[in-house]
Amino acid sequence: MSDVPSPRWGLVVIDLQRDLCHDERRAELVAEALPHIVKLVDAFVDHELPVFYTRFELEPDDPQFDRFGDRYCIKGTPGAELIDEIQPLRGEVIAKTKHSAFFATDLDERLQAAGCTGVVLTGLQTQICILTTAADAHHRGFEVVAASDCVVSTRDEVRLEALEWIEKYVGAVRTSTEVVASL
Amino acid sequence: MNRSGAIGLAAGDGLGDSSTMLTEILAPVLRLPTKLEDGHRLDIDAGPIVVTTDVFSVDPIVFPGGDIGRLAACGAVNDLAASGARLSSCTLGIYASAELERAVLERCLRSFADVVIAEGGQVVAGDTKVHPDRRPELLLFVTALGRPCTLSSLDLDETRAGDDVYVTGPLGDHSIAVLSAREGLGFESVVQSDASPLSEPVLALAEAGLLHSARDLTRGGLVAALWDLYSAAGLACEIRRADLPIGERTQAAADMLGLDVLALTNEGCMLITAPREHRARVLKVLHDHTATAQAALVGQIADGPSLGPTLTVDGAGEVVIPLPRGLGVPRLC
Repeated sequence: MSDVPSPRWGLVVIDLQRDLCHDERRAELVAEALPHIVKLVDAFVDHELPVFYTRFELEPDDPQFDRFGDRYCIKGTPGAELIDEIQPLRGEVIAKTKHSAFFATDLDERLQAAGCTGVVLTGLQTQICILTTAADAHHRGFEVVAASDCVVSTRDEVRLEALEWIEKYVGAVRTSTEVVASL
Repeated sequence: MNRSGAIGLAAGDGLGDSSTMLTEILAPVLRLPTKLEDGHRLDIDAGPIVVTTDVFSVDPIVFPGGDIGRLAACGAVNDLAASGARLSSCTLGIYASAELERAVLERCLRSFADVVIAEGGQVVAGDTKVHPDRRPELLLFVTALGRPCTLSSLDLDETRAGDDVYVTGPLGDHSIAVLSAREGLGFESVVQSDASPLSEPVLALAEAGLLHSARDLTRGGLVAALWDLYSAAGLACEIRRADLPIGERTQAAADMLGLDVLALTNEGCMLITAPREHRARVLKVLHDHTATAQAALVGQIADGPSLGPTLTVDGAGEVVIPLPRGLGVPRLC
């Protein structure tokens, strides 16, 4: 985490949705990350810091399905629901249609309204939604931390590449334990 | 016109709504000739005419730094400028979704017309077709005629050994701006398309006899142009990586996506070659124009034989630049 003055952090839990988390390609990895994510959520709530949960709400004909060769998180379907393991929710839910959690959402405004000057990012996938949200947050003037044991990619080498990119260009990478210790 | 604000399918059927489209949007926005007949007669001075044609497709059609109308007009203007000519007249074909908002169509057409008219040109003919699906939202088909400003056509085979090699502006911004706006990559607020007409600086250099060749760095970017030059002239560019103008954020986005900035599309950037003795004058002309203010001398044309264009990276030596079969898939999935 950064030196003095310490930012006021907001926790962003990205796309922990059934379609994405129960996918057999990453279900085991999500299960490994979940205890760390829950620990962070609890710590943020204990410190009276805000928690935001994002979720994809996509139209059935969203063009990204063609580009990625996959279909997921269609608005109104059970697969778009946030997973049971993070219920009950401890913060606000933000619907999004693109990778960055800031794209055409009011996350920026909500963070500012909560007095946040930094974001801690968790969820999936590291090389898509975590990465682009980190970039967007940085460009909007927020301090950025990715919690390394709280982010998931289908392939771990891709997760590590993405974390390297975040450290190189837009923020810091810390374990959940380090994040909690710095709150 | 459709009451919801979309142009509607009937806008392309040749009847009443088509007439409304023509009289309320196309004619005033594009400043079409007052007489609308099946054909338009051009008065062309004797001598050569340069012609170029292109189909423009981009998603989204409005992106940071421009829209498909500006993209299409700049594409035509720059293709002509790279051939030593200035746009005089053009045709515009429109293929639009019935669901396209009228206001968005007007915006794009106004962008197109603004560039064409600023060049002293005119839209002289066109056609509109409307299809019932959501995509593509809008395609533009442009054929443009240009008056040569120089005897030289600035073809790549006019490049000479020992020439300086310049890039007229930052590389890769257009691709990153469009990709970011389409996918939500977090760069759309900080990287803008470079779509700009380059006729003023490029033709100023050409008219002064300072240039040997020029190539618009659109699809395939710098890499494709370097290989085109190698094929056309049998000469290799020796490029210095450290001298290439690349924005820090564009480089970061390209690294994020696993893409090579040198292969990304540009819409307001050219590769030009010029004799070394003109270096000071070339740089002054480029830096005096807004659209080329960040132009850079990036290398030289090799004097001897080579296996292809080369890139010298500080600390890593010189390598032949590979010509990929395609840009590749952005590293997202």
